Amino acid sequence: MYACPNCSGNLKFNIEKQALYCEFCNNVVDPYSVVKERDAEEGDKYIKEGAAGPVEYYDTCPGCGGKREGNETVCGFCGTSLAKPAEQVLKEAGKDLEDYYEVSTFRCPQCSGEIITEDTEAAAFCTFCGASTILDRRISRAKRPQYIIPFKKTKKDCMDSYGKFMKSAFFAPNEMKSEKCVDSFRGIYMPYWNYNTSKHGNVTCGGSRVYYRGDYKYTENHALSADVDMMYNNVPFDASSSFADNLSNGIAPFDTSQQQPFTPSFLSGFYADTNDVDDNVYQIDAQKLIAKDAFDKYKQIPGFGRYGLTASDNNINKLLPNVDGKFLTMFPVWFMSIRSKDKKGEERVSYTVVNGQTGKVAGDIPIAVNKYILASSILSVALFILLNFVFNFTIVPKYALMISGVVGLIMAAIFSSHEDQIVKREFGEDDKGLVTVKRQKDRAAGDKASDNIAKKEKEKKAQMDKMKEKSFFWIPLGIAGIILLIEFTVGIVSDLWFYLGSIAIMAYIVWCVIRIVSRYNRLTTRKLPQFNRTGGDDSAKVS
Amino acid sequence: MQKFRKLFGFVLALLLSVSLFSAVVSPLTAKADLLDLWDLIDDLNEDDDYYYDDEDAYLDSEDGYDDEVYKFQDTLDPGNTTTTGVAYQETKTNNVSGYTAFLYDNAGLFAQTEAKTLLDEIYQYTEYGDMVILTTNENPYGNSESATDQFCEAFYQQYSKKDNCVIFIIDMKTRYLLVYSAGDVVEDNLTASKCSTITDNVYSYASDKEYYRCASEAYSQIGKVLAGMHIAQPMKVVSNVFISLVIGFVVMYLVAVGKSSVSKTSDTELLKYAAVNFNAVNPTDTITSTTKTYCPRSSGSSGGRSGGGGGGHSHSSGGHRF
Ligand SMILES: [Zn+2]
Ligand SMILES: [Zn+2]
Ligand SMILES: [Zn+2]
Repeated sequence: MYACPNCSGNLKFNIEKQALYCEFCNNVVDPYSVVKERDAEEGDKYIKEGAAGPVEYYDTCPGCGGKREGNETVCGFCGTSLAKPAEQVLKEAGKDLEDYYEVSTFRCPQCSGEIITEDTEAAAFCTFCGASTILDRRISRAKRPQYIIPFKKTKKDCMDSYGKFMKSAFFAPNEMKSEKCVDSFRGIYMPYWNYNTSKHGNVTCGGSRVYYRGDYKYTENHALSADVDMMYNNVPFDASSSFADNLSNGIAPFDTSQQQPFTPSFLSGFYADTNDVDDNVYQIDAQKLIAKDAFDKYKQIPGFGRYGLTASDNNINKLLPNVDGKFLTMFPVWFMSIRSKDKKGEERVSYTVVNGQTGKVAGDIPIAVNKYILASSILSVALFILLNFVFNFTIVPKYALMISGVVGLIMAAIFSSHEDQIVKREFGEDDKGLVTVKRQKDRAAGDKASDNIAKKEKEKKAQMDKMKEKSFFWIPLGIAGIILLIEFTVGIVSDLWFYLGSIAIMAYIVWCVIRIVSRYNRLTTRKLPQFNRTGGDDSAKVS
Repeated sequence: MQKFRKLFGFVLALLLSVSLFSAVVSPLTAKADLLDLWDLIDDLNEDDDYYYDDEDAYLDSEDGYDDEVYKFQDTLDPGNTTTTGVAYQETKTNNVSGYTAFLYDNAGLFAQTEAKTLLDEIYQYTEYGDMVILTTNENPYGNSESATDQFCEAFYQQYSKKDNCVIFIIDMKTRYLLVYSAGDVVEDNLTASKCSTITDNVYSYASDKEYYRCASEAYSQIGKVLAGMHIAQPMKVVSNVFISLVIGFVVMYLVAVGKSSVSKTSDTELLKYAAVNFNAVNPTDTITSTTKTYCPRSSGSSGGRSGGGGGGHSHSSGGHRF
């Protein structure tokens, strides 16, 4: 903790004052001027158990030289802890100790999610899985970020933004608007990788021009080139595998011009997520994003516009920049997680995040199915009155069948693509960072044989297919197909069949939409996360 | 099993799209055939101010009637009926309104007494306009459903030409029933959708060869509609209920998903705070290759059939196969 120079009270970062503040004597302190006081005894006790990354163990006891048996964490002979101190781990990995700073790490006993803080008070719930438990605390070292954007929006600002956001989300379940839920926002610094990129040199793209002269069409191919001198600095991508890509995208951008050199005291009173995604995971995404933007500028070079330069991969790749530098920055995010149970009683979690700098909100907002059905029914009644009495609408039975058949198929297609998305998210396949971390873990677990990995992939695919719900697309196809087939081959089919067929298909469509909506909520809630950070041996045992 | 299901789905999808395609395309191809015919005539007559229009072809021909109109007349001539039935043609004019009831049973579908009764029945409605019952075995306009509509149009231009006219036709050639209405007063009530509803309600009689009942029932419903009354439209109501449900649920789904999904931040927005510097100098533009392809932009004879010509008029119609 950071002690107040006046009264030794606990200094915490105050958003309104943008400085450390002592609530006991109203003292305001510059974050860069304080140094952390560590309780020596406490430090010694925990430092040995902590490490940056997974806990590593000595093979031979540092106390008595005895051999480590199985998964022992303490020596079976003398009871000495076998965990390597953080310093030792870092030294062995050839890392510079200066790049790390000491933190308290809280680990959730349920999901193994880790969160770091400068405070010593026990955290009462887990942000990742929403569990209310006392988290296990230890001292460890975390990679030191270069910059930080301190929180600018207070918790009250955040709750106001959220309130406004929820007002327009009238299909949201009422629980999400409750006081208790809104109060659970927690200020977390999220690690982002910032990329500095540039490109200097000649860039040539291919364009073409078409014109007509007489009865001939001329196609002129042009080589358009220019000496490009470009620089894109401070392009951030979230570095946490626990922070979903769609959410971090939803609250972007952060104004990086407000970032300040990092010092740990900014974290006092807040939490920080540990970065566990390598800097090169999102590098290609950052480069592509920049290349696309640069290509738009390239197109605007006087005279180039009329040659119809298309944003093809080929053209864009020519503007792919070099990465000159990357650095870690902490961005402020208000984070809320809500646990809920699905129909089968399985516990799920959904996240809502608020940009701690701009107040922009993004969240997994489920659709309350009862509200949806009510609103749809009201709309349908109004439409019926309009169609039947105002427009006096009559549809020819044959067209009714065809149109409902096509709409039915479209709904079936939407349903399947939804299922794909749901299953992808269930397996964490939609977050690049998470996929990478999982893959690294698999590798660490010793799945080095490639056929083993292939087998695992296949198993996973089978599991994913099994989880998908069926769209029953053959219902509209079958009904419309059979009736139309008879109509076109045998001859006259009674109107009644056309009407009954289209009514059956339309009933299918309504059923399909309701299913989509209730399944959609699978997308707005997530499986409880399982981080499995306990280290090589344990994850090998699990898988 | 999986493969079989996929194949089954594929075949059904193919069927559905083919039938949909043919339904959409067949009226168009029917028109295209006529266009070809006109092109041919155009080429034969190099006179450029001689032109045809879609609906009023025979009006624009300079020498009065073209072959099609002769054929049309032949079709209506009782002496030329090819069925075993007896052709019957009779009219009855309402002296008060000046409108006429026509019964042209060229296909000989009605017995003599039935025809007389029908004429009396439709005569009741001559206060609204010309009332016509038409049956035919021949249709010079072809076999498509639109041919029946063209046949009615031709009849209207030839015999009625009044401001208000209703034609109910049983076309044995195209096997199509049609209620055709022209003129303001009639059209306001007898809209295209009403016309289809009426034929929907009576086509089954025609399928059962109960032509008298079919025509009689059709006109009793036409009479009700003209008098501003409602006709029973049970299927219309049921299908409208379902159409409303489908639109309501699908639209609300889009609204709900739009409201609750995380909106994606645009690429430009993502780079909003990045420090960006883009300079490009020495732009050069070199032609690397040129290709030349023959691509005639217009095909010879222009002019000829342009729009306009002949007094166009609006009409509504709706029909049903039987
Ligand atoms: Zn103080
Ligand atoms: Zn020991
Ligand atoms: Zn947890």
